[in-house]
Amino acid sequence: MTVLVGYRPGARDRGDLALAAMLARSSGERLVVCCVVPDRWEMPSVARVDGEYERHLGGLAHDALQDAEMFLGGDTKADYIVRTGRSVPTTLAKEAASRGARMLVLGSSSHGSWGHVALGSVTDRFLHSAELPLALAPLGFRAPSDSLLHRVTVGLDGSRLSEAVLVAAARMTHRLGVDLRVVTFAVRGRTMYPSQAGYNAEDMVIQAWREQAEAMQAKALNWLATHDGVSTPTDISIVDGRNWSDALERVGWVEGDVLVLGPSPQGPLSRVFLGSTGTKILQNSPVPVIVIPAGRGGTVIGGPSAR
Amino acid sequence: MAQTLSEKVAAPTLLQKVMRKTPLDEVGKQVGGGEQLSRTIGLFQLTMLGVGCTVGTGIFFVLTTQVPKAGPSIIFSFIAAAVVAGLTALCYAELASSIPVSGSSYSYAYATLGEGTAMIVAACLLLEYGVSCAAVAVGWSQYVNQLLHNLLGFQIPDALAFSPEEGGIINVPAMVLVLLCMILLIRGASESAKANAIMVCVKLTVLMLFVVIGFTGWNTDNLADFAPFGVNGIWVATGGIFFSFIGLDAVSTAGEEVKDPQRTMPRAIILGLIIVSTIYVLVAVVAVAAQPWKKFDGQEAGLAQILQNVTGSTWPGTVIAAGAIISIFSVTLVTLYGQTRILFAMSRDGMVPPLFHKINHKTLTPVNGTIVVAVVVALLAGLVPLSKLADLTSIGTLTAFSVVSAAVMILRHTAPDLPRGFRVPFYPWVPIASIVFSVLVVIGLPVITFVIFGLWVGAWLVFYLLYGIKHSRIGQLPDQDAPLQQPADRR
Repeated sequence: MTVLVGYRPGARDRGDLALAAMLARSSGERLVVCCVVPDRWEMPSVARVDGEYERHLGGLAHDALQDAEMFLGGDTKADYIVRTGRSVPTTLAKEAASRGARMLVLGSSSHGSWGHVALGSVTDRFLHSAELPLALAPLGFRAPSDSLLHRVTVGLDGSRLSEAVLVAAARMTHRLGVDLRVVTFAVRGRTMYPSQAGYNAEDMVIQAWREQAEAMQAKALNWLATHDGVSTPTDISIVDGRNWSDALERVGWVEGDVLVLGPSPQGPLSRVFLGSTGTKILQNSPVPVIVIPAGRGGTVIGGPSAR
Repeated sequence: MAQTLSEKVAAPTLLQKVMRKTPLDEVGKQVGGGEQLSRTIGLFQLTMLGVGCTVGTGIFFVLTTQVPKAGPSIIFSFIAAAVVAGLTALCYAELASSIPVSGSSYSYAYATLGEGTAMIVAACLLLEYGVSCAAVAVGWSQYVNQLLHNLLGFQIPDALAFSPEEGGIINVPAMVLVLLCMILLIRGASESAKANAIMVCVKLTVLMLFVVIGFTGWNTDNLADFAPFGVNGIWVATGGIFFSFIGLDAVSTAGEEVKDPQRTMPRAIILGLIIVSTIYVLVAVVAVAAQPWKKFDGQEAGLAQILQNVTGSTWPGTVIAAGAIISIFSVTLVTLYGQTRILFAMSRDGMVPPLFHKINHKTLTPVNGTIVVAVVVALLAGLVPLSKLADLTSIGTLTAFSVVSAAVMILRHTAPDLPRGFRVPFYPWVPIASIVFSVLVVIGLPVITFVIFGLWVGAWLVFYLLYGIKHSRIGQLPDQDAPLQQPADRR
């Protein structure tokens, strides 16, 4: 069983490698670094330029993997593979399926802001179709070579799917022996000007949401307690802010933290399908984010068998 | 004397239930309690809040319904309505500054006058905001039709642009506007202070454009028959016109955020009132001088029509219609928002079902409550004619304002030492005059308005006796009979 990381030639950010190494170390899973390069044309060129181009790409992939190996160092055992395909997401998905990978790790787009997860075309595609848990590293994410997963924070939003994801995350933390924290995020509505109902009407709304969220958390935790092989949360909180970034910052994070999110109820049960609120939380998270398909009530990483 | 156990646990009487009040610490808890708003609103911004909330509720279409009642003397109706609005706004400001959180007059009545009175105020507020929202939506549909006609040469068929009483089947544009605002509110949209200031500029520019262009059509002959119905006409029209002054209370509810409220609040109210009244009177003078008063009756998109008649060209009407469409949209959004949040507060108090304060986990807004409010307002907008809606709004607002003015006097008597950010000048004459003038204006409204209003308030009280009195959140608190106390940490 493996943690598969997609690594592209010419990548300047190595947050994906750092995150994948930390997850593999913490779980004992095999780490596989996969570099996908475009496939050659089906119609061979008379001048053999396609072969020449293929060799060029192969060289780039080889360099990229060498670079990855150097970054990870000798202490981190990993397989380095090159795969060709017309689509990077499809090729990575096939590779993950063939290896029975338990998690796919991807990095942020280099166009994003430093320290936050930024979606590129590949990550965006997986966030709407991945059949396995997806871990996304913030841009510039770094972790010491011996760092381990310290704590898992589950974002609970009150939907049934997020309860299922809580169970999956609690199983993971139980097996890995790390802390589990449950947080419900909220953003205070902006004040309406003018307001005939007072200018702190939105405080009243957010206060009502806090009470509603407390009841929802209690229900989810009761449900969690009916499962075997799950850990009990060490911390449960409701955090609100002026915006998503503010709310995420207010939670408080330490090294080795990851945030786990569930998919939107609008998507298929067996796949990741991140909704608009989930995407906002993901993009403002200062720590790596793991998105788990709701149908995956079983092992995420660290267990004896995934399927 | 020691109380027996049976006396201690005796159930409260009906009167005690009706008179129970929100303890001040409970009011704080309901809005999160901990963080107090920073005082950031100055005189200019506060004045803009008042002007922004007031201009747009009625001036774009109130002339059509009220000029036929008073003729050109409608100008005096505007001045009378402004005086009443100013007096009540001052009283509102004192009451708002006496309560440690900002809110609506429902919240203030609940904390000072008791649950039963708060329910009457709530019934009035539902008319003020809910019905006025429907009324402005109906006015919006008239300007949409005018704009479509001027720009594209076609209009929405009468069957789909008027209520049944006006010869149509249903007013679709008015309903669409309300439902659009509903979607925006569900998605958490709001109007920022800067957006409000821009909207104020748009409204004032459009109205000044009307005054300037309309002035070119001045015909003194139109003023010859100045008061065809005498003082009675002026009085009757004042009630209907009061509708266009709704919103000035938005100044008072900002008490907690206002810098130096004792100085800023009255100045903003008076300044806002002067700006609004001046604009209204100018618009009214120009309108009644530009066309004979008998032509106002039944005129659609009144201001745009007048300019088109004066200039013989469509472009001024098009500009007015476009400005009206933008500003009325903003007013509808703000009014619908106010309605949903007042019901939210009532629902948290147990006065209406929990549906209205249930938050959707995805949008973090009270989606169910917003949908219910919007559907009811949309049905009103689609099926009831404008004049009836305007009169109902006026009676609701004036009654709520009278209660607020009475509350100021009651609170001065029952809690004289309560810290007040603002005190009405010339006490007790200002609140007394406010009540007397409000009652006088209300008396001038049509009998049918009283009947509907009476039925509405009666229905609310029956609902309160059947539902609210049992589910009251305050009623479930251990010591809900505690008198209004002075909080130790009030600024």
